[in-house]
Amino acid sequence: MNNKLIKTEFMFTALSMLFISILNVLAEASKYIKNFLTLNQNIGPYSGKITYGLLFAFIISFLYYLSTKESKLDITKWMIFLILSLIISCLFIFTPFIHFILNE
Amino acid sequence: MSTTEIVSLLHGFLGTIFLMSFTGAIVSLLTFAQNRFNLLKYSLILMTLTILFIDITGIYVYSIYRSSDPASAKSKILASETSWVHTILMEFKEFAGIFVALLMLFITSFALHYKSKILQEKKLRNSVLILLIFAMLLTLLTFGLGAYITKVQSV
Repeated sequence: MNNKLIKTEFMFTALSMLFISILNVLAEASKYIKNFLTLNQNIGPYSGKITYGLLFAFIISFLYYLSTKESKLDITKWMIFLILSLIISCLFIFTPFIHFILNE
Repeated sequence: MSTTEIVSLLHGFLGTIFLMSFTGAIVSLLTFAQNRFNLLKYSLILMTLTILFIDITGIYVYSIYRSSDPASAKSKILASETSWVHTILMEFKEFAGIFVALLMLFITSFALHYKSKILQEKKLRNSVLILLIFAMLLTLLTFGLGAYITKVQSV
């Protein structure tokens, strides 16, 4: 069983959500980043947040896949990582929380 | 009927298909019958395809919603006393839909990787079940927000 692939999939899913939400916080913090993330005028900065978020997650997951070795999958550990990433990502897309961490 | 209205309707209708497929996936996981893998597999594939189409149609509707035209739904909401509907609810909704798609892609690929072992091994089955419940909670929240935003100001 190719556990490397499953671990990479866990990694990609968690990192995609984290990067998308972190880019959302950064866009709120800086107008320059917001403009940089506007890849499409119709969709606005949302286009860049999704594109770059997925791209960064893909690159890091791919590097992880190349560097990691086949080993037993500790599913509990990976599930905690994924669920924590989901919860943190949900906080980073919740505007009152973003204003709270940016001290606005 | 305009294209936007048809796409908006399709966006909501696909949500119903997503919820129905969820029932199939949950039944296959909770009945503990090992011959239910095909039901699980097809339910998950249908859920994933549906959520991808929901996101694609959602992006189309979103581009109309956030148009810079003063008559657009976003402009009207921001000009009203309920601007929080956009700044809090819509901001959350637009990302939550993408998170559900990412989760569904993962769950489906996970299930297809382990095949019927998913139903035999408790840890694998519970993992899929927990992730499906998270995906469903996020979906229900997204649908609820969508319905509320449309009630406040339709596209």
